Amino acid sequence: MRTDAPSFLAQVMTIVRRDLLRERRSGEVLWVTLPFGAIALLLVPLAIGTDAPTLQRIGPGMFWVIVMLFGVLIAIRQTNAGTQAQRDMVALTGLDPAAIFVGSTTASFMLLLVFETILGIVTIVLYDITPTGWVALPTVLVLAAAGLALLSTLAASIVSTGRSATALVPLLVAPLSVPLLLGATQAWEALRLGRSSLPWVLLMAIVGLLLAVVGVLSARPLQETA
Amino acid sequence: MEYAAQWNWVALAYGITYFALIAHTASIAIRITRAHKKLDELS
Amino acid sequence: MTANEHRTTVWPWIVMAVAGFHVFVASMTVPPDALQGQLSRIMYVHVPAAWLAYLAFGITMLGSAMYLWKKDLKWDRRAHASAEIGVMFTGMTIVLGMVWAKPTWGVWWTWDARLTLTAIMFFVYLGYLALRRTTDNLDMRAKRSAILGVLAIVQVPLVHFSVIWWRSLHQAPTLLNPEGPSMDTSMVITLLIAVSGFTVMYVAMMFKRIELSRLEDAVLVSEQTSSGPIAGHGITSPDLTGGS
Repeated sequence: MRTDAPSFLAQVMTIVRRDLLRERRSGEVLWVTLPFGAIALLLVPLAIGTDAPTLQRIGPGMFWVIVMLFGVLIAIRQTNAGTQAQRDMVALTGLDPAAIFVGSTTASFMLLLVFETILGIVTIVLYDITPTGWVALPTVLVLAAAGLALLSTLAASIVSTGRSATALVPLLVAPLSVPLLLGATQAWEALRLGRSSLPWVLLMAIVGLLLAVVGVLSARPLQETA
Repeated sequence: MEYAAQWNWVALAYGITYFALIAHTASIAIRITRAHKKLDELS
Repeated sequence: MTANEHRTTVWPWIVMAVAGFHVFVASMTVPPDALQGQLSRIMYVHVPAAWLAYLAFGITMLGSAMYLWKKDLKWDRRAHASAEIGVMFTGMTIVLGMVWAKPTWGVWWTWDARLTLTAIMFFVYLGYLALRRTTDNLDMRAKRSAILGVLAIVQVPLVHFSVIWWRSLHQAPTLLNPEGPSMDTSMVITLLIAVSGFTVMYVAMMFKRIELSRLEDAVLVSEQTSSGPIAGHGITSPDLTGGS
């Protein structure tokens, strides 16, 4: 039975395609979460004050806080969309749970990259930021998106369809996302001051790697109980 | 800092500590009693 | 049956009261610190609380890992009991730190690494406790919270490391200094009494909390197997057929 099963990569691609198709139909990230994040970036100066030096100083930090907090919503999208019946259906198709985890994470990662890019542009425009580090900056964006996608998908699969699931995932993700938040903001700070951002980039990479291992290893036991 | 004011902070700290310990212990005791009652009702 | 088969123990209450009394007497009779004055007495509850917060979360990690290995619910109950007590001690550590910091430093809070880490750990394990409330299926709950417990093992050292790297102002641990404790002997002894007293209290509390977990699990099981009214029967539609 397992011999003619599709390869791991093909299974992952199936999930990615399903998730992206779902997003294209619902437009939840593009038309709800993204505008929500953008308006949050607009609200901060209204509350704090609009003088240029202040905005330039807090801009990058606000960007990352909003990416981390609102980015979780992008991963929860799957918990909302996936009812228990749908999950059972996917389980019955015999897809490898690890492939489902990797696929969902990849889809979230891609959506998060789009989210980061557009919010980044909003931040640059509203807070008058001059981006530096044309190699390091994209690396940080990619690592942050990957780490957050892994962490959120893992938290969402742990919480699964339990009571108050949508409220609980952000609570689980927020404290554990501290290394990512510090990595991203400090890497930016290092770039701005002309120092090496490599230690922080490595930290984010290690976080991502560990989360990937835990996520893949826990995928099967988590599906068994669901 | 003057002597009396220091003791106020110490009193506050020990008040918080022992209140928390007693409150948590009491909460465990109450929940145990409730669970026993519930088990007796159910069985 | 009239009395259920779950025995209840009394000794942990007595042990806790005795240990708590000893810590209080010891930390009130020791002479005050030359520099910090009476405020140094706050250390005798702050340091043990912090130690227990870490110990309790360590036990939670151990319980989670053991559950994933042995699949025995008793390990899950130990992990849960320790997490609940750990959250209490973490909260206590933070508040006591504030009460000490305000008269000493003039502020309630400073952004130093250990403080930030303790606050983050508080929320991580608050999330752990919240996760346990989301399902009544014992095995599902145990497995999910054990995986979160393991995820915390993986992440908390990284949080710790990143926060330390970010900044560090907290005075280095005085007791575990390799060049010998930099405190007066009477203060060291008092601190040791306080730490061991708190540890004894933790153990006694664990006994009662695990007993409670056993009872709660038994309640859940008998609720799920009993043929009594099902959940939600109180909100069924009103009976409109009968007249009156």
